[in-house]
Amino acid sequence: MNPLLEQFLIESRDFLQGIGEKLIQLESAPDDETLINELFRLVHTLKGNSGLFDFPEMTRVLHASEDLLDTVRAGRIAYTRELADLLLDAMDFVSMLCDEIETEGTIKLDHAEQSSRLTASIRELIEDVDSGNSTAEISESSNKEEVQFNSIEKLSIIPDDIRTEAYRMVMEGKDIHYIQYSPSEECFYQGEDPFYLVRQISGLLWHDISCRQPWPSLQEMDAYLCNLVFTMLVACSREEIAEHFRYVMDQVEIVALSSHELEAISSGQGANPFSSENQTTEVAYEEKSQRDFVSLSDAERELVKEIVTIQHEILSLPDDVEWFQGRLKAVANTLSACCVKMGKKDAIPELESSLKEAISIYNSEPLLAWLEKHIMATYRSEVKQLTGKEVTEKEIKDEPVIQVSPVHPQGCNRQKEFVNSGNKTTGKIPAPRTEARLASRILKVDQRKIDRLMNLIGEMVVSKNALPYLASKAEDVYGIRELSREIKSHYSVINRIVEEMQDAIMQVRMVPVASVFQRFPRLVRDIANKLCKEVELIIEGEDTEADKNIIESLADPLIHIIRNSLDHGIEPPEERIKAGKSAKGRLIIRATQESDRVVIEISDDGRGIDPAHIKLKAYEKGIIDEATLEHITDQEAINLIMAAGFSTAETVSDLSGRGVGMDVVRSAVEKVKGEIQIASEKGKGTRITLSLPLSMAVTNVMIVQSDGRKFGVPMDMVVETVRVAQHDVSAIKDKKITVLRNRVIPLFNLNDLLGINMPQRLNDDGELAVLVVKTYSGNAGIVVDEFYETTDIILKPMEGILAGIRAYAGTALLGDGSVLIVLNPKELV
Amino acid sequence: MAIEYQKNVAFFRDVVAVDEAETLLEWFQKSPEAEIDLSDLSHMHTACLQVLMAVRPVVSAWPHDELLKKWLQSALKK
Amino acid sequence: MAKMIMIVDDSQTMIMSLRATLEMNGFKVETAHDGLQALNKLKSGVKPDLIITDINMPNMGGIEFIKNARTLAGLRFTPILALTTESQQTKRDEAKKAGATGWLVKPVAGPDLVKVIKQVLPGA
Repeated sequence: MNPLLEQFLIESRDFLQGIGEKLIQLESAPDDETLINELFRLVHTLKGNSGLFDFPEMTRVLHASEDLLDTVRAGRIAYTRELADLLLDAMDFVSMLCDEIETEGTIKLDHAEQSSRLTASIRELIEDVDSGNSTAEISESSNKEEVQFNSIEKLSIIPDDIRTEAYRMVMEGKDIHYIQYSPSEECFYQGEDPFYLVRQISGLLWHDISCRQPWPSLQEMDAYLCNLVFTMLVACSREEIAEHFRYVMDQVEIVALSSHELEAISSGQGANPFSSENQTTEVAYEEKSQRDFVSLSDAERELVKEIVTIQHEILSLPDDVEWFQGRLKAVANTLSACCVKMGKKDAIPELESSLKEAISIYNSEPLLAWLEKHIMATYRSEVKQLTGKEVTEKEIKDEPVIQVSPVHPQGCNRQKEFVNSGNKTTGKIPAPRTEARLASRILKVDQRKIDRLMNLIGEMVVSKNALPYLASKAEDVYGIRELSREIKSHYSVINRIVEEMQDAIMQVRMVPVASVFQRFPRLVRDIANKLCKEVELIIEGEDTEADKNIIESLADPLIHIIRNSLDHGIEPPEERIKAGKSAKGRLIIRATQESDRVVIEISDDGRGIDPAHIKLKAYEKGIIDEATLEHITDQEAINLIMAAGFSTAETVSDLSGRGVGMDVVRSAVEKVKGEIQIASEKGKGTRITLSLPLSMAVTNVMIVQSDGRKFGVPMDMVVETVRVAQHDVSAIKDKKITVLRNRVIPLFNLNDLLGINMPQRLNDDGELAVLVVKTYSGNAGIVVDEFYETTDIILKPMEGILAGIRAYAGTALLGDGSVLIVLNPKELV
Repeated sequence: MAIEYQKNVAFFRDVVAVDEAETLLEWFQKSPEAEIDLSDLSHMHTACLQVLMAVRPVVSAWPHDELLKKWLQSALKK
Repeated sequence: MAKMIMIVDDSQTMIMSLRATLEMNGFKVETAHDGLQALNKLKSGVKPDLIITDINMPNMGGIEFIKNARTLAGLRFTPILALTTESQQTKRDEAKKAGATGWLVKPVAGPDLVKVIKQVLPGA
């Protein structure tokens, strides 16, 4: 994927998240102007970004959404739940497209329909409003008046040769425009360089630079007040000129010139070949020519006739020359231009086909035939008449004469505005806000890059751990004590740096819980709507940070808990009122940091959990036996909802009743070494507390040995290590137990647990090495052969089929390069 | 700086920017009889151009760039 | 000497896209993610030959930024282009009033961008 697209996707996700949040916030504060502006800005930017790529499906929907928000912003439509729903749908759609772009690299065709549908529904909302009151928009162009070009005297300063050239070009059907550009006085203060601008215009025939006002004395002159006027004659279309001067259109006058005007100014200047015409005829013509065809003066007609005759002569020349083809083309071009002049445009296609034919048969005949048919015949008939004028005029049909060009009517006003606004100082600049400064230092980094760092530091830790081995080898094997000591001292330096580095990288991975919490408002809103419940969501401590993996692993359990809470906890409004509560339920999600753990509390004021009900259910489902049913405490009963296979819902709703219960939540939390607690009071509400480590990147394990093999046991599960004399071990039925500080601890041989057919070894004093660990059913003792040191490792989960073996937490590399299998005592026992 | 001021001649080179208009004007205020050499000029900002138009100095050399030369002549040779 | 262009936009995507085109065409590029940061950079002595600024930005939008930038001595004559969308005709006028030289219409195709810059930046 190209980096730009990647960046687009990263940023789009942020924008979509922000848009979603704002849409929901607006529901409770529909009049918040800042909010709506911010929302508009986000959608606007997102749309702009999407336009960089070829994602019409996305851009279309975003564009419509932007327009709708603009309508809302203008106060022309109220922000309603329906509107929010529609926009949320639209954003979900865009989000889905983003996902698809990420995985597929493109958007599949079949989304076009949905895109159109969404766009249409959004546009419908806008149109509903617009149909009522949309007379305000009058396009600028409708204002444009046609202005007669009355600056013929200005044209008179154009030298004859250039004017003649322009005249010729107009006759050939080219656009010739006269431009007068008077930059505003203050234009330099807008970063403009008018001279530079005019230098770049294309099709320049003639130009002049003059001053608007007489120059003041040098002592009084202000070099930065523009006093220039640029006039030009250019051969290019009005559109091109308008495009070129688009930033300063209000300062530019563009006039399309007809042959007539060019001719008119030439009158009386002598040098013009066509100027023999007398003025009265000229006026008479002008009236006729105002309509839709070009009129030729007698002199012109004479000239055209001469040109045509020459072409005839050329075509009659012998054909056997090298440049024959070029000659034919030249003749055809000339004739084509004459046709335009004479208003015989209709004949041009035929001329072209004649040319092709002539070239292909290497003979002038087809062109001669054309010439005879369309022009020479006319001339002959003309001779028969006394004046040729009528004939020509009748034939000349479709040539526009005076293209009078619109001139910006507000030119003068604008200029004044510029003067007023050009140089003013605008108030005080607000002091930079802290957030702004903070934001500028935040760097967005692809997670893969950080993961790579994380892996590297993991390897570093392992490699570093090889040094002590090396040191002892130097001493024990090679007997060089000095070297050993030096290695050790180097090790301590490297160790310190690696630890700091590890810490630094961990810090990079820390993200605020907000990244997960931010989806909740939408979730709660949608679920509550669906269930017809009223819920107020309160989120606290969003800034609390924890490792990205921890935070991410939280998302699903939390969503499940929230669903449960809304589905089973919070009652429908009527029921709540009956119970003497407010109709609106309250869901609080609160994150706090407690030493090295992050604690998340989800509490509701719903109906709570009924322990009696749970007990019965658990008994019915065979989760507990009758005896347990008798003596189980209420709290223990509540904890039962986390037991596998337990589902409390009376009816399976489409929300939380998906066949998974709190047991899935529990195992997800435990996977990241978290703990979960439930407290509930019937009728009052439920509080679920999750406690998670801040980071899980490095695991502290104790290394134990059994049957000559080393295993790791996560330290957070180890309660203590004890040596138990053999005579302190007694047996109840076939189970071995011991008593530690007046508590009965069941004992298990690790060899037995792992299916190794060997007894556990005793130490020299005949004692057993017992590792006391936490399990679901209280503490238990695992008998091993020997304890070793504890060490930090980077735990890699088991992969492939081994991933299914829950007795293993994973593997890790040790400093000497050996692989350590890390046990999961909870599952083992 | 794209304008090099020598005794009585100012040499314009490359692109003469807007900021130089003020200095140029001051220089002419002090030495109104000075000449300008535009041979190596590729562009001058409008502000500088209008200073030249107001001063009308003797142009000892026109730009090599033919089009620019035409433009400047239409402004300065009247 | 390479001309320096400052891009002010809150969208990293937009910045990235413009930056790629500009750098490919031999310009030096300085960026800011909103008007405030841009203004601070300008005050701290960054002197671009041209500024391209978005209109809708948090903290300080484009219009306000242009107004403020024009009050800085070194920025009096610097060409400033506002980044607008097709529909933002009024924003363009506002930007011009605030002191912008012109505008670009998003999405800006590479060749168009270079063309416009060459049109307003002598010697580019």
